[in-house]
Order: sequence, then C-alpha cells, then structure tokens
Amino acid sequence: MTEQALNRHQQHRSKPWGKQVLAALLKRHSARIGLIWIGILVVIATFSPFLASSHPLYMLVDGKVSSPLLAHLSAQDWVWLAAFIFTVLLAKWSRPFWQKLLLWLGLVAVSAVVANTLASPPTLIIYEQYREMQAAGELDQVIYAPIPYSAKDYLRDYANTGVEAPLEATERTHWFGTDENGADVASRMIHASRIALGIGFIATGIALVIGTIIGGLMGYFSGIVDIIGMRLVEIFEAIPTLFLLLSFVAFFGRSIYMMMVIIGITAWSGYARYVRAEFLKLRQQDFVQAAVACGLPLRSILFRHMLPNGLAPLLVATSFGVASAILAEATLSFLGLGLIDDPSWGQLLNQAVQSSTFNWWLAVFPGGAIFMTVFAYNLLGEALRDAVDPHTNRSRRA
Amino acid sequence: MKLLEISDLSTDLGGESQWQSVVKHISLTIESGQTYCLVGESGSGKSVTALSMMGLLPENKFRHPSGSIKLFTDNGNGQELLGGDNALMRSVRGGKIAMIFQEPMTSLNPVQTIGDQLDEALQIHRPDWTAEQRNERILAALKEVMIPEPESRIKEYPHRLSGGQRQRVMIAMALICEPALLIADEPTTALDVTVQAEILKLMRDLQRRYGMGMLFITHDFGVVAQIADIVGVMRYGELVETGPTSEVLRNPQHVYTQSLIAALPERLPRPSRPEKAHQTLLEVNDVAVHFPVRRGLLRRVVDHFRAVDGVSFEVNAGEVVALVGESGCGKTTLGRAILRLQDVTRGQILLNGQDITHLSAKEMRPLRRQMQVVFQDPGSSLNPRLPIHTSLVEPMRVQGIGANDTERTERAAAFLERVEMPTDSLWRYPHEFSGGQRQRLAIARALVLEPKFILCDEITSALDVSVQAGILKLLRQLVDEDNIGMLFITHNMGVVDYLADRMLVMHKAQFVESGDTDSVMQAPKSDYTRTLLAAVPRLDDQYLASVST
Amino acid sequence: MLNYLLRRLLLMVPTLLGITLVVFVVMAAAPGGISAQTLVDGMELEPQSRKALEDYYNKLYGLDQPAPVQYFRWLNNISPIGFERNVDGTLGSFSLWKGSDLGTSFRYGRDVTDLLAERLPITLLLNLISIPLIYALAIGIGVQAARDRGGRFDVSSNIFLLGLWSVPSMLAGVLFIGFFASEQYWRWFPTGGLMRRETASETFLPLFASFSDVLIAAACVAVLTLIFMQLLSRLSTSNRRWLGVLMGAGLGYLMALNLYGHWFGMLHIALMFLFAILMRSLFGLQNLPLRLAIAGSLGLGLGLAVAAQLGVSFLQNGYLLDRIWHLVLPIIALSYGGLAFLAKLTRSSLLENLAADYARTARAKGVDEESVLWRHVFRNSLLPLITVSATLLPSLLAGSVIIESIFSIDGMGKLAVEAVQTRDRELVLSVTLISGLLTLFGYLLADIAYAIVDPRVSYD
Repeated sequence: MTEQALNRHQQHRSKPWGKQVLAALLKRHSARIGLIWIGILVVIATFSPFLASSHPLYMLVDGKVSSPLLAHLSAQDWVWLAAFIFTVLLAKWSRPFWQKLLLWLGLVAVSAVVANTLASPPTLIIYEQYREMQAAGELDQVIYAPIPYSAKDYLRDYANTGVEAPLEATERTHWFGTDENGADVASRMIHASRIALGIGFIATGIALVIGTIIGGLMGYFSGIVDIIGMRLVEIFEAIPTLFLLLSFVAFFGRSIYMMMVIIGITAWSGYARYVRAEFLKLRQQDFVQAAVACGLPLRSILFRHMLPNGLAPLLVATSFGVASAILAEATLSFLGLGLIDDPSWGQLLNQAVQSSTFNWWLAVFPGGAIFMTVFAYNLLGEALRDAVDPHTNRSRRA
Repeated sequence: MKLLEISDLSTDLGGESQWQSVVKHISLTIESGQTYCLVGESGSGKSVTALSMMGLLPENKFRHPSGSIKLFTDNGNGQELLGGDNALMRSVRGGKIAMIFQEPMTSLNPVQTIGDQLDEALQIHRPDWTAEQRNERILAALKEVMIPEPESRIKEYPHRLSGGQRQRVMIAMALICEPALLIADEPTTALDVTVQAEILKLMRDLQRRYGMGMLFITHDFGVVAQIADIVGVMRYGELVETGPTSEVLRNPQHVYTQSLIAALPERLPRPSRPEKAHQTLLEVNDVAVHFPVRRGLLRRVVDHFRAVDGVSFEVNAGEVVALVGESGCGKTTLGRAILRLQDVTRGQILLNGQDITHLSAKEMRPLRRQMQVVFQDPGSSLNPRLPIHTSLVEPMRVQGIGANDTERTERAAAFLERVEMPTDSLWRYPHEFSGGQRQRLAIARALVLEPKFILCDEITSALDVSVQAGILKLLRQLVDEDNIGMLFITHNMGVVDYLADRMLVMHKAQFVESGDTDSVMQAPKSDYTRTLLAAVPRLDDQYLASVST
Repeated sequence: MLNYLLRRLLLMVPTLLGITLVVFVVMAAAPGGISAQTLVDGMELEPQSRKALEDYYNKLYGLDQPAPVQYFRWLNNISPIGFERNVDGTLGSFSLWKGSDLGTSFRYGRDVTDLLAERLPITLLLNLISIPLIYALAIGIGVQAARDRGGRFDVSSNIFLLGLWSVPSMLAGVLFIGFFASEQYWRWFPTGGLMRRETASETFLPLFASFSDVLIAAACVAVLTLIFMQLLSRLSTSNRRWLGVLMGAGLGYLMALNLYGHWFGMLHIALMFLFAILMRSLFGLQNLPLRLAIAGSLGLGLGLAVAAQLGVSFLQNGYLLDRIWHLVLPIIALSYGGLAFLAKLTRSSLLENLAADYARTARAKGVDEESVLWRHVFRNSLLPLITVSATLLPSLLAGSVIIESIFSIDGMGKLAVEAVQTRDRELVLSVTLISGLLTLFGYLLADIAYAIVDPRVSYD
C-alpha cells in the first residue's frame, strides 16, 4: 500500500497555489476582459509587420515570386515571433513556473543572438516602389498586408500629404487618418504597440528584480542593511519620478533600451517596500522558524519558503506597475522626449494639439489605445487582488 | 420566571444559491437569574444562535426556515424577536438583551474614549437622562466591574487597557442599561486563566445582583463547571443534550457529550509508563534573555526588557517536562532561546553535554538534527506553498538522511503512519487539512530528523478538546517509544496532569516552582502556583463527585 | 513628539542630499555633461567669440571644474552656512550668515530664487485647490458606494472609477483642450494660460452694467435654484429620472446647436442621448445632499444663462471669474485621477471597518446603521486616506508637469521640463531640491496628521 501511495503520478494531486489563483482569476469577468485585450495586444505586437506593411506579402513580377515583406523582416521581428512561439509551446508544459520562465528567457536570448547575426534586411527601404510598380502595371499578382502602409512610410509619392482625417483621402484608405508627416496612423499605432508592451514588461521586470532583491535583503537581515536600504528607498520615492525620467532622457539621449532601464530604475522602490513588509511578517511565521530550526540553508529559506509566500501583494503590484510603466513611456513621448523616429502612442497624441487645429483622430485612437491597455492592466490588478485575498483567508481554516 | 424562549429555531447561512443549514431545530428556555451555558466545539452553531437572538447576522446572508425567539417582559407577554423590524431590534439590543464578544482587543472602538462609548449606550436607551445622571451611572458601572480610578479612566482610549480590563469595560457597557438577559460569546477564551477566573466571578456576582438571565457560550467544560446552572450541548447545529450542570457532567446521556467529557485531558486513561534510565539531554544554566529599550533622539539604550531572567533546569531523555505560565511570562522566549532561534544574554545551554550557547549558524547546523520544534498555530506551522512531501523530505535531504529521494519519501510515509495520517497526504497542500491534522503533520516534520529533544509550544491550545486528546495521546506514545525528551509549553493544567512527568511554573521571567507533576499539583509551594491551579477546575472524578446538584 | 520631529527633520537632510546627488550624477554622466560646451553649442559664433563666451560661462558658473567640485560648490552655495562667494566666482571667507543662494539660471539669466518665487505659487495654487476637492468628492462617492454595498451604484461606480483612473492625464488634457477650448468645437474655455492680459487691470469681482442687472441676475439664479431644489427633493425616483432625461436631452440639443447651428443631425442625437443618460443617473441618486448640490449648480448655471438672455451683461468679467474660468479645465484634468483612486480607497476602507468587531459591538448596543457609519466607522476609515495623502502631493506635482505643458501654464512643472531640456544645471538642481523638500514635508505632515487622528499612535 505504501508503494501505491508513493507513486506520485498515480495519485490525485491537489492544485498548487499558482494554479488556484489562476483559476479564481479566470472566473472573474473583469480579469477575462483585461486578459483578452492584453492577448489581442500581444498578437498585434508580434505580428505587426504582417498586419501593417507597405511591402507586399506576395508579389509576382515577370513570373518571379517574391515576398518583400518576409525579406524585410528585421532581427527584432524574428525575435518577437520566436518569443511568441516559445510562449505558446511552454505554456502547456507541466514544470514549475520559474523553471519555465528561465528556460523561456534563455531561448529568447539565444534567438536574439541568432537573429542578429543571421537576419539582414536591406538597409535602404523604398516604400513607394510597390505603389509605383502597381500604377505602372508591372505587378502580375500582389497580396498586401491588411493595412498596406508601414509605420515609417511617409507617402512621398503622393504630393502634399500631411495631417488628414480618417477616410478623408479618396484614392487611399486611412482608417485612422494620417499624422503630420503623412504616415498612416493605424499602421503607426500597430507598430507602436511593440514599444508599449516591450517597455511595459521589461521595465517592470527590471524594477521587480531590483526591488525584490533589495526588499528581501532588507526584510531578512534587519539592522544596518535595513537602515541603508530604507534611505535608498526614500530617496528614490522622493525624487519626482517624471522629473528623473526627464533628466535621464534629456541628458542621455533616446534609445529604447535606455528608456526601459530608466523606467525600471525609477519604479523599484514600491516593490521593495512590499517585499520588505512581507518578509518582515514572514520571518515571524512558524514555518520559517521551523525551517531555520531544521538547519535549512539560507538560500532555501529565502527562495523556497519566504519568497513564494510573499508573492501575493507583489503580483498585484506588478500588474499595476506594468500599467504605470506604459503610461510613463507614453508621457515621455508626449512631452517630446521619446524616440524620434519610431512610432509611439504618446507621440501621436502629442501631434493632436501641435498645430492650430485639433486633430481629433490623433487624440482619440492612440489615446484610446493607451487607455484600453492601462485599463486592462488595472482590471487585471484588481481582479488579482480579489483572487489572492479570499484564498489566503479560506486556507486558514482550522 | 421565563425570560427567553427559543422554539424550533433553524438558521441557514450563505447567500443566493448556497444555503447551508447551520442551526437545526433547537429549543431552549432561559429563566431570569439563571445561567444557561451553551457548549460545543467549533462549527457547532452556538455563536450563530446568539447572533440570531440579537438580529446581528450579516444582512442578506441568513434566513430562518422555522422557529421563533420570544422575549418575555414584565407583563408576561412574549415579544417575538425573529423578523422584528429595525426599531424594535434596536430598542432590544443593549436595552433588554446585551451581548459581549470574544475578542476584547478589537471589540472597542480605538478612536473613541471609554467614557464616550459607555455614554452612547445610555443616550440611546435612556434618552431623557441628563448629562450628570449619565455620568454618575457610567462611574458606578465602572466601579461595579472593579476598574480602578474610574474618573480618570473614562477619558482614556481603549489601547491603554489590558485585555482583562477591556473585557471588564465591555461588561460594564453591556450592563449599563440593566438588561434582562446577557449573552456572552466566549468572553474569556482570549484571556489568561487567572484573569478568566476573576472575570467569571465578576459576572456571577453581577448576575446575582441584577437578577438577570445569562446565556454563556463556551467550549471549555472547566468554565461550565464554574458558572453554569443549565448546560446545553450543541453539535453540528443540533442541541443533543441539555440539563442541570451537575447531572450532565456526572452522568452524560448522549454519546457525544460522553465523548467530549472523556476527552478532557484530566480524564484520559493513563497507561503505565516504562522506567527510564536517567540521562540528561538538555541542561539550561542561569539563562537570561534581555532586550534593549531605546529612547531619545539618538536611540540610546536606556533600559533592558527582561524577558527571561536567570532560569535553570534539565530535561532528561524519555520524559516530558511541562513549562507552565501565562502570557508574557517569558516561556515562548525561553523556548526560542533553547532552540537557538534567539540569542541569550547570559547563561549556558548544554545539549547532550555540548555547550551550544554561542555556536555560529554554521556550527549549529549539524546539531539542529537533535532539537526540533512544533508550534502553536496550525495555520502557519507548514509552508502553504509546498506539498507535504517537500516539507518532510527537504530537511532530511539537508541533514543527509537517506541515500536518495525515493528512500526519503518512504521514510516520510512511515512517519506519517506513525502520526496516524494517511500516506497520500504527501501529495496534498496544507490548506486541505483541518487544524488537528496539520498539527499531526507538523509533528511528523519534527520527527523525520529523529531528534532527541522536541519543544512543543502550546501546540494544542488552538484545537478542539477532542482533537487535542488524540494529539496528547500520540505525544505520550512517541515519547515512550522513542525515548525523546520533550519540553511542553502550556497554560492548561489538565494537559500538564496527563502528559508531564515534571513541571516548571514560570512567572515574570523567572521560575517560581519546579518539581514532579504530582507533588506540585497536590501541594504547591508558591502562591502563584496555587492561584493558577485554583483558576480552572479540573473535572476529574474527585471533582465531579463533589459537584452539588 | 518633539524628539520625533527633530529626528525626522534631521533624517530629511541625507535624503535630500541623496536626491540631489542622484540628479547631479545623471547630469554629469551624460554625454557632454555639464560644461560650457553645451551652452554655446548651437550658437553660430566665430571661434574667438565662442572661446570668450565659454570662458565667461566657466568663470561665472565654474563649469570647467571636475564634477565633484561642481557639486560641492553648489552645496556650498545653497547652504546658509558656508564659504561666501565673491563676485568673480572665487571662494571667500567662511561665514555663518551667508544665506542660501540658489544660483543663476543659464537659460533665463535670472536668479533661480526669483524664478521659483514666480512659478511655485502657481503650481501650489493648482495643487492646493485640487486636494480638498479630491478629498471631498472622494469621501462622498466612497461613502455612498459603501452604503450601497454590492448594489448597482456600488458595482457601476467601481468600474467607472477604475476606468477614470486609467485615463492618462495627458489624454484628458488633450481631449479637454481639443473639444472644449478650441476653435473647432465648443469654445467654452480658454486654451491656456491663467488669465487674459486685460484682466490684470480689471476689478476683482465682475462688474455689471447697472444695478438692475444685478437684481435680475440674482433673481434668475435664486428662482431657478429654488425650483430645482424643490424638484429634486420632492419628486419620486422615477419622476426624477424622467426629468433628468428631458433636461439632458435639452442640454444635449443646445450643445449641438451651439456647435454647428444646424437644426438637427447625428451629433444632436448622440449628444442628447449621452446627456439624457447622464442626467438621468445624476437626478436618480439616492443621496439627498448630493442632489441638492447638483440642484444648486444647475440653478446657478441656468440662472446666469437666462439672465444673459434677458440682456444682463458684464462690463468686465473681473479677476476672480477670469481666474476661475481659466482654472476649471486644468484642475479637472489634474484631479480626476486622484479622485478615482481615493474614492475606491474610501470605499474599501469603509467596507472593511463596517465589518470590524467594534462596529458589531456598536450594533449590539442598539446604535442604528447610519450612526455606526458616521460616528464609529468613519474616523477609523480615514486613517488609510491620511497615509495615502503623503503620496498624493508628489503625484499631483508630477501631474502638474503634464498639465502645465498642455495648458501653457507657467508653473514649476513647465519650468522643470524646460530646465531639463536646456540642461540648465542650476535650475535642474534647484527644482529637484524644492520638489524633494515638498515631498518629504508632505510625508512628515501625513505622519503627524495620522498621529493626531489615531490615538493609538504616539511618537516617542
């Protein structure tokens, strides 16, 4: 009987905490709405070159088949596609979450290296050539992406392009209108989703790692470590975040990686506070004391016993944190301190009030996108808060 | 004279689609001047019954499929309380029926003074009194419950009072409008035993003085013996037995009541204990633990808080030593110091002859195998995120027991059997188990390292009495079979009586008495021990024979 | 308590030093750093004039010295005790009465202290008006939602507030300016600034054309306000809702008419529908004080409009009205985020306290539900609100940055952005110092307020 009892695969295994929270989360409507929007956004971001591009997907010229769209995919595009595929594959695998996460990070890093060495899209891009070829009748067959304009296609072959309302121009369809340089707004929005999501996740990830390490050290070793740590936290909290961001960006110039790191560095203090508070509480918990009494190594006590139990408020804070990171990036772009050429929702929003007229499509659509994304993460955060709390209350039944 | 009559009351709790029957067709009568004790384990429905009487159940989450609650006033007519409108219930609450609750620490509004809170009750039920009349009554009420210096107390905030004092204030607040019936829902459970004895005596006195009826809810038969005229035993929402105290205690009719009384530690059968060779396991010499108190601008150390102030004792293999004391006496700190979870300020701790007082964490690690601990709170004794298997196997792996994980898992399963838990518990998470089961799992975790010494810190205080009986029997068995030395911290004398070979009494950071359990309990030398022993009666045969009808 | 205050004030110093150090390091570590180079870049000058200008700047501001020296010189300047600075830039003798000198701005060429004195009050004005507004409304909404507990108002307000909180303030600002302050749509509000130039010479209160005009205006306002108050307090809920629908439709129609002048169109229908729903829910509120407030504002607005129709006119708008007119949009854009957050916090805090043990004791004494809420639970629920107020001020300051940029208000936020964009070292450091100081004071005030409200807390 002991043999049977020992066979872990045969027995009914009750659900670990992570899966229970997920199940409770998915029951709520608000969480579902939030997750659906975020899912849509991830899909749009990953497949953005396929959704909006001036390069045709399939082109038949003089009997030669070619796919300019695929040829022009940059290393970044390939890495996004690879990450997406890995996510889908790893989701169903049944190993502990942190193992899957590390594996995913490793795979993405490898694919980044591979893509950067192998992918070499042509550096000189002429967007107008396809439209000219089509006008000249050289194309036998052609299949375009659903929105046949790239983000940086300023429509130079049409004279006098500038800000146009949606569907104002007759010979071309711009569902969301064009911006002040003539580029299609819908296309720019689709490509900008990458920046929004990327900055949201990576900046928050950086802040989370820094905050957890510092907060954990503060919470576990009190005393001098705590005092110094709290001063650091106070400093970073008291600096007006926006101001620090402005300073960083203004002085260091603009690059997307710089922005990710900077937004991450300004946000870690909140996570540190949560982790510290949880660790202080957990240190007094009986099972931690028992772990020390068993002689378990510090590594195990911190990462196996304390951290998993302190995750609850951290999860909630992370969801809200991603929302504020996306907002921070949009704000910077809005103030003119974002990336220059790459599209960003905030930058489009800025153009709405630049000229003397109010271009409502530049405010409503990109602004709406920012709002929906922030709203989705906030909904998710609220739902997480509810999913996590009653669970811990229920589990304390004697 | 009949005061309150409950007839065929049923209560369901829950919500829209999930009604659960919590109270099933109970009937009881309380007369004025009488104390009715409602006894039962957790989940039996006793609190819900009390709350129904006051109409305090959460809105929209309850319903009464049947029954009536009638309150009889002076003119002999019964006022139906179930389903009464708001105005009626508000006049009844505090005016005719008053209630006091279990948690004195959180039952008073922290941002209002004591005087204001007492005044409020008077303003509602005696609207025509002047301010001086109210003030007079408030001071008189505080004097009745024996709060010293009531004039200055009424301006203070609740956090300045101790638990016992707060409960006295609650009683004063309840009685200030001289209600006909007082409902007390486990009012002394959260208090120390000596304080509990005082409060119970106070309530008895006040009841006699006012001639009011009292419904006292508890799970502790010791309290029942002290205070009840009539006892009602509840189980899973049903009233299984009722009758005068002496009869029910001496001659319980229902099987459940019989099992409850038989589970009291003082009544558990004691198998004969094997003779043990005297072998000192743990030796504690003049240990003191002082915490620095910092004040002032530069946080200088101005004083020391003496948690433990010079104690010495020994624990031998195969014996259980009980460490008895009330909250704040230092017993928990002493326990942690022995386990080296807390540094000692002075003194020596010897484990198997080896001085472990100042060893570093690294040096302690191999020695930790020999000393293990089980804590009080079943809710936090096991890591909620790990399955039981990991909680049991990891310590073995770290200490190098067993050649591989499969072997360790087998050993873990064997220990689970010893603590009478099913082996497939290995793959479950702690929240799936009840409190008693979790304590058994915690004991198993302590056992897997095969320690020589185990510290048990109030491990059964949070458990129902029948569950406690099982765990106590298990502990006695383990000590006898494995020759383990155990230090058992508790405040329950019945448990000491059953389990311990020797006992130590701790009061204000020092030992006031020590010796064989039997000799100390028959002939205590210190006053404090005498007070402790007298605080809660132990319902052994001798006592029950003497209970008057 | 005094000890605690002293300790906090002393602890502020290292934190402030830390903040300024961080910002300074950022500036110094940037490519180009803080040197005269960046100041003269972009100017088209002969090499000699360029060099002369660089030398001049170096002398004046000490820009040629290594970064740590520059930092310490700056510290020396701002501390009231230190080395005096001579006119040519060298250090003079040590003095205890030197006084703080925040330096001179590169860009504006003026003393930083003057600039701050000009701009700081404006930002403070915006924020200090917002804070009480936020708290009052948040508590009102939160209390109503907690009373409703699971009902329709509660659930819908929760989602609405979450949505409101998610709207980025720049989007709100842009939409406000675009729709309510521009040439193309409703020109109800000014596009920016804090006042029109003419108002500097106007009277404080509005000036009517004649005394009879005042009487007419007052009469209109009074009559309409009374009518609305009667209607909103006497009518039953469903009647009130119908009234709301009618009024909303009417208002929507007028708005659309104002815009396009056509008799009817898609916009008219859309706006009528929108306002009908809005007014219907507002009029249908169960909370009497809120309804009376709505009645009051409606009466005021419509009364003035009717009076205007009757020929009453202002000779001059007056300083007060003009300021208010300019402030409405920026303050709404600044406060709605904080409002949403605080309202949700109030609600959850109230709900938690309504279920607490001491509330149960109060009910057991016979206290009715309303009194349990206001006399027992309310003060306890305020505690988390006070803790949060510590972070409210910094977030408002950050919000000001965006709002001031959008609405072209010359406040500290706008100054900060310009300072950073032009790499104006003195200005950047000073603004950092001031905002850090304000933030830390905010924390200190919040802690003191907490100690006052909660008798359990005492700082020894």
